[in-house]
Amino acid sequence: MCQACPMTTDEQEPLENANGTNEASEDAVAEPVEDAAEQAAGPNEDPIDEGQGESNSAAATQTATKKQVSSSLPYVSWGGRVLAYLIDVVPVLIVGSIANLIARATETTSLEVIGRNGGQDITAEVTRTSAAGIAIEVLAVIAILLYWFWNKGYREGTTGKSIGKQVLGFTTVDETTRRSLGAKNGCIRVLLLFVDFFICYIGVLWPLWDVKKQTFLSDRFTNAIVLRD
Amino acid sequence: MNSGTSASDNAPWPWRMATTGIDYLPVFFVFWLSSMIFGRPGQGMVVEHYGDPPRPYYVAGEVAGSVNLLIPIVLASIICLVNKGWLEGTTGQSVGKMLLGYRTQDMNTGEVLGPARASIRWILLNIDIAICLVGILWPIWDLKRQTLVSDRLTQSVVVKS
Repeated sequence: MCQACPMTTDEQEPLENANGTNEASEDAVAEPVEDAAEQAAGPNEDPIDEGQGESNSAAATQTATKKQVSSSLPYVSWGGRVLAYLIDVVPVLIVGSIANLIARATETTSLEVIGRNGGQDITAEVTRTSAAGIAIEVLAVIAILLYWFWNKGYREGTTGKSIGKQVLGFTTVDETTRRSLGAKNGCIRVLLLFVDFFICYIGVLWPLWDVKKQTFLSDRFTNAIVLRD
Repeated sequence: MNSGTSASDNAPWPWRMATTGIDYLPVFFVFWLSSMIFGRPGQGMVVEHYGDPPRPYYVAGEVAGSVNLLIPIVLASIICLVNKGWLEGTTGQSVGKMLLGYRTQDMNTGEVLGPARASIRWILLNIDIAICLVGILWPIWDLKRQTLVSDRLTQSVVVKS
């Protein structure tokens, strides 16, 4: 796992750029990637490369490394990512079920006139969720959404780890910079994951056959890869 | 994907879908929320009263409680018209396009569409969806990456901003 070395250098200060802008993190990260390039491409390096201008050779090695490294990085498989997702979902299930149970318990049943048939009212015994039950369910959904964006948007965006990924030891990083995505891109990634689910689950099944194990919209747009620590 | 055609600046279909998807997420959410509050779904048994004094008897047939979706539909339409009509028409960017960095413009002049044309574009988008999604799949193979009905009729393209 020599190619994983850049990840070890990253891990020493994972939070350094946590709240920085994208531009800042790109600047700060240029170095480790180049180091990685030298390490990985070291033995195979052409002598011609060294004769070239500094920027040219740096760029060349960088692209070469990206190709070499990307196939051998410790990408998390689809199953692992599903597991992390399921752990993230646990609080949602708990809050949602409690709210739903309360709403069910506060259902009211009453006789209502639902129409007329030849001068006579047709009445029906109608069960409805009470206003309080609806309010609790709506509040629960808002709480769930806040949790979801905090956990998978802000937390995973700034530290690379949602709760589930922390438990299982996975990290989400930007493919080029190897740093965390930032809160904004993290939240965009959350939104796009909803869309990935919406397109007949194709987007979330994509890691099954994708080389870099990326989801179709959310990971590919935000340039995110998920790696084993 | 970047085949070097004249339309290579136009947004590829996956990101078109992504922006539209993001635009529709709050619509679904508000539709669900408002149908919970205003739709008042319920279910029950039909009851008829016989005798003197009248006593309730349950008769066959469960009835669904009246579901009033007028308010949810109106709210969802308002969100779409504000976001995809007014916002996308005046600035070129709906919320989804703002987040992902794309903009809608006239295919000839490059100007923004204006609220009226953008609103019509959204109404036509629903036709694109209604024809078995063929219309919104059209950008996959279309040279200018336009949807079948909405983009073509309003002469608009989506480009990277």
